[in-house]
Parts: sequence; structure tokens; C-alpha cells
Amino acid sequence: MPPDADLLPLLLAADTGWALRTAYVVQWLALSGIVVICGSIALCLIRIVIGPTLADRGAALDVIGVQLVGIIILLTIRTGSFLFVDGILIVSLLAFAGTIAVAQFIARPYMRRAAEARRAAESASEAQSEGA
Amino acid sequence: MQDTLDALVSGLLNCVAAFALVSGIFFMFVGALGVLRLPDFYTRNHAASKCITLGVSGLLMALVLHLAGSARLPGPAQQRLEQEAAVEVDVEAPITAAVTKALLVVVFVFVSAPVGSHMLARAAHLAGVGFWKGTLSDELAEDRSPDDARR
Repeated sequence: MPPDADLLPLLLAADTGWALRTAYVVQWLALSGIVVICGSIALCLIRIVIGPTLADRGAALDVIGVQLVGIIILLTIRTGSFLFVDGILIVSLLAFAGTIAVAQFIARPYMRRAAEARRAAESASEAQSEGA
Repeated sequence: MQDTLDALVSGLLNCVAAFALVSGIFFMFVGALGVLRLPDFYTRNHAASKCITLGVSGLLMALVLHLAGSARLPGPAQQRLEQEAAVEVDVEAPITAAVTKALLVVVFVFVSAPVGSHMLARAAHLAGVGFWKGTLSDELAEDRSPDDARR
């Protein structure tokens, strides 16, 4: 009998139970990860309630959106279905759009005030040059 | 022989998936902890963007590796996994399509998360959100001339 014919299975523990156990470990990690991410969403909710400024609340909402993406990924691992992958893409897109909207909402009054100040300065300099 | 090799590959893929899963969940949790605990808005925003990029990329890597790994399991083991863990093991499904979408999400998150947090931080600076007392320099305020301080 050639020695390498049955040496390799012996080295690899000879059965498929090892691979099955690693798959179980990943499944268990995914289930407990859902619990951990729910806890982190609770932390972000506390920040949204106590956050002193609007920008703090916007950043915490962004993190909550991404943690929803994480929960969908873990559910995909748990159920083994590929259908959720589209949901991952859509939810991450929506979280990004929400962040941009909050940033614009915070910045717009200051941008408008700056534009008015610039316009006033330009008209003042025009009047000065006409007078001279 | 072929079954043993498949089982080896599947087990190794699942081990790497477990590592990526643990690191992704760790970054998710640490990011949320930083959002709650850090002293001012800018440091909180920094923690949030780290959490987003590293957490989502780790979890997506775990997803792809685990799906590929459980599709490589030998037949009887697959049936046991389906029955005991109530998991759907889809050998026929196009794994390349799922991998492509997952990589697309990773690329999108790596592009969009810095852009979003940068816009939010700049808007907060424009609105005059205060700094932590230990902050050393504010280069954005130094760059603005007094004439167009609010541009």
C-alpha cells in the first residue's frame, strides 16, 4: 500500500465532522453577533437622546443605519440565502443619503448667510467705484 | 479522498470567516461605544467612521467566506447542517454574483463613509459646534480669512 494513500485522511482527522463543527461555530457567532449589535444600537440611541447638538444625532443615526446593515449580513449568514445581499446594498445607500441630508440641513443657513454677505460686499464695492 | 479535501477547504474557509466575523462585530461594538463615550462631536464622528468601514467590511468578508465554505461541504454534512442548524445550503446558487455584490457594497462603503462623515464634520464646524478642551489646533478656522469667515 502506498503510504500517502491513507496518510492524508489520517492527518486531516479523517472525517467531515471537523468542517461541520467550524460551520456551527460561524452560525453561533452570527447569532450572538446579532445580540451584540442590538446592544450597540441601544448605545447609539442613548447618544441620540442626550446628544447636545444636531450633528451628534446625525452621526449616531448614521452608525445605526450601518449597524442595521450588519444585522442583515448576520441574518444572511444565519439563513444561508443570497436574497438579502440586495437589501444590504439598498440599506447602506439609504444610510449614506440620510447622512448627506442631515449635513446639508445643518450647513444650509450658514451657506445662505455667507452668500448674502458676499453679495452685500460686492454691491458696496461697486457703489464705491461708481462714486469714485 | 475528494470528500476529505473538500472538508478541509470548507473548514479552513469557515475558520477565516469566524475570525472576520469576530473582528467585524468587535469594530461595530467599539464604534458604538466611542459614539457614546468620547468627549466632543469630532472625536465621536471619528469613532463612527472607523466603525462603519471596518465593521461592514469584516462582516461582508465573513459572509462570503461562510457561503463559499458551506457550499464546499460534502453532501451528508450539508444535509446535517441544513437539518440541525436550519440553514439553507445552496450549491446551485451563483456564488460569483453574491461575491460581486458583496465587493460592490465594500467599495461603496469605503467611498461613502469618509465622504459622509467629512460633510457632517464640516457642517458642524460651520455651525460652530465646540471642541473638547484638550484640542490642540483648529486648522479649518485658521484657513478662513476674516472677510469670508462663514464661507
